[in-house]
Amino acid sequence: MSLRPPALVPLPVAAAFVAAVALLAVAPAALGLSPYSRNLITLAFLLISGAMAWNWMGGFLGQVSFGHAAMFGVGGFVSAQILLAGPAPAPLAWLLGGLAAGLFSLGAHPALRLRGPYFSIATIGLGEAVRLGFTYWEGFTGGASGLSLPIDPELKYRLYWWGLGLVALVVAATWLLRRSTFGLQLLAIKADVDAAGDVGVSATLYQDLVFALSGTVVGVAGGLYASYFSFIEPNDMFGFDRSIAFVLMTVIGGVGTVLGPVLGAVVFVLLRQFLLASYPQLYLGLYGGLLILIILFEPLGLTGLLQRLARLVRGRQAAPAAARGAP
Amino acid sequence: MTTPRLSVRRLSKRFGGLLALDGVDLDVAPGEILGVIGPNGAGKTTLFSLVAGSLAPTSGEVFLDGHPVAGRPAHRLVRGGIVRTHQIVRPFANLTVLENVTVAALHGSRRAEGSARRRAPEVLEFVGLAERAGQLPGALTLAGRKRLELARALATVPRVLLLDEVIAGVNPAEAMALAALVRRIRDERGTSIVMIEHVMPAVMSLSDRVVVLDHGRKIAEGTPADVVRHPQVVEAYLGTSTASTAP
Repeated sequence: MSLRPPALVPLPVAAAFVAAVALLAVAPAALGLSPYSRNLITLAFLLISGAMAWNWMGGFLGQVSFGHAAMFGVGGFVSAQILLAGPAPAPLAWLLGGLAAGLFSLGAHPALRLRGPYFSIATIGLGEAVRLGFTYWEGFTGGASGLSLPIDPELKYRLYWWGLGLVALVVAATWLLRRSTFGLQLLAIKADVDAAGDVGVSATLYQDLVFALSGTVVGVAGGLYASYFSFIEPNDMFGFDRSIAFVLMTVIGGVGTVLGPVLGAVVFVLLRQFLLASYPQLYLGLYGGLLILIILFEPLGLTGLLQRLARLVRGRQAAPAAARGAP
Repeated sequence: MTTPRLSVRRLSKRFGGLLALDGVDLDVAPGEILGVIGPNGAGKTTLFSLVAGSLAPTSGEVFLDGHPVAGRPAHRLVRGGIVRTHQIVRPFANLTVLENVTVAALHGSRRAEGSARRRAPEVLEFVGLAERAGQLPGALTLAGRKRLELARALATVPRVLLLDEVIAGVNPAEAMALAALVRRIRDERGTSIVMIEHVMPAVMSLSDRVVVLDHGRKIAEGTPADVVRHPQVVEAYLGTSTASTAP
């Protein structure tokens, strides 16, 4: 029967995934990347992971959060404190930072009863409250002057591969999430939360679960970010700009798609890197313009644009074939 | 007497100053089709919302196979075996027809009976939507979307199925087909069905018994033929006749 469900991970997809990860793993040596480019890519890895995790909430579940910086900050500061406290291995510190952020995100449970714009507005308020709270908690975050970590060039060099590992894990998790029955239920909640309840989906449980998972990944990214910069301060880590960045990257790339956030984050990092240096006043305006264009004309962002192009190319190939087939 | 599949006792719901449902009692036997009729605003849909767990009752109790279940949230009642459909169909617009049903098949009262991925195509076959499996709900006609709404409810393997106007609003041929489908659900699956319906020929031919609601109260109950002759029912639908009060 034609109703057989598709394989969870088709072979070509698995092969492409492994090849892409392998290529990125050998790229620094093979291409002789400068430390500057390598660092830029490392930063992109962290932002990609964060944006993809944001997309689990915003894209799959339909709960657009403007407060994900809170988890980024918690992850960053918890792992920084662990690293400062003693000779803990950095990966353990990142993981614990992530778990702390995941637990912390459950504090938003009451907000998850809200849907749509009401939820989004609540997350703006929560995010700002968290930022202020941690800024005033000087014992933990160092207040406005922040925390400095011991500089470890060896670790910073290896961060490229840690970041790649995190991205690979998050991409794989996103794929499985999108294709599994678990993902179907998230999409059902996004479509109609009451109708989903009427066929047995517990929206409360799934929202908590996805929010915690998303928070954990963003927290781990925050921990890696702390090690990457060796200096973090609350207004940057918990800043509203950072929450907006997660939204922007995903919307530019394609909300609710698997690979959209990857595209979005790469464009975001590149644009920022080039524009921030030459036109520091202009770059936020450019993002704003891009965002308006995308929302007006291509709700699926760059992914939607690529799909459109692919259809165009295929249409051109199909047209001559059809012409030849005609008598 | 055997325990009814579903019992509702003194069930009431107050919205501020409005008593939408006022102490309603009803019983549904295993494999029975109970019709619920009444003028607009009689409290029919409120009754469904309370029984299915979409709303919490103000007072009263609901028993499923003798166990009290009132006040439980909808998703837990689905696991117990009570599922409803909506008058205005609510498909998950972003999922295909098959995926819509798969989501429902993941839950329900007899989960062991085949995996969800297998049960969903079977249910689509049963309601006659197998060829539409890969389409989005938006591509279906209204009758098709009503079938989808039915399929989604059936995929949870319900013991009590609450149908809110599944037949109304489609053309006569489709209405006949949908009525036949409802009867097959009862005959082949032994599901107890409570149906709200305005299409009188359908209610009269399908229902074993009919309950009439008006202003939140049960005003009549009995076989379809008895109920339509009940004076209070005639009054609720048509108002009092001045001619009949004359000497």
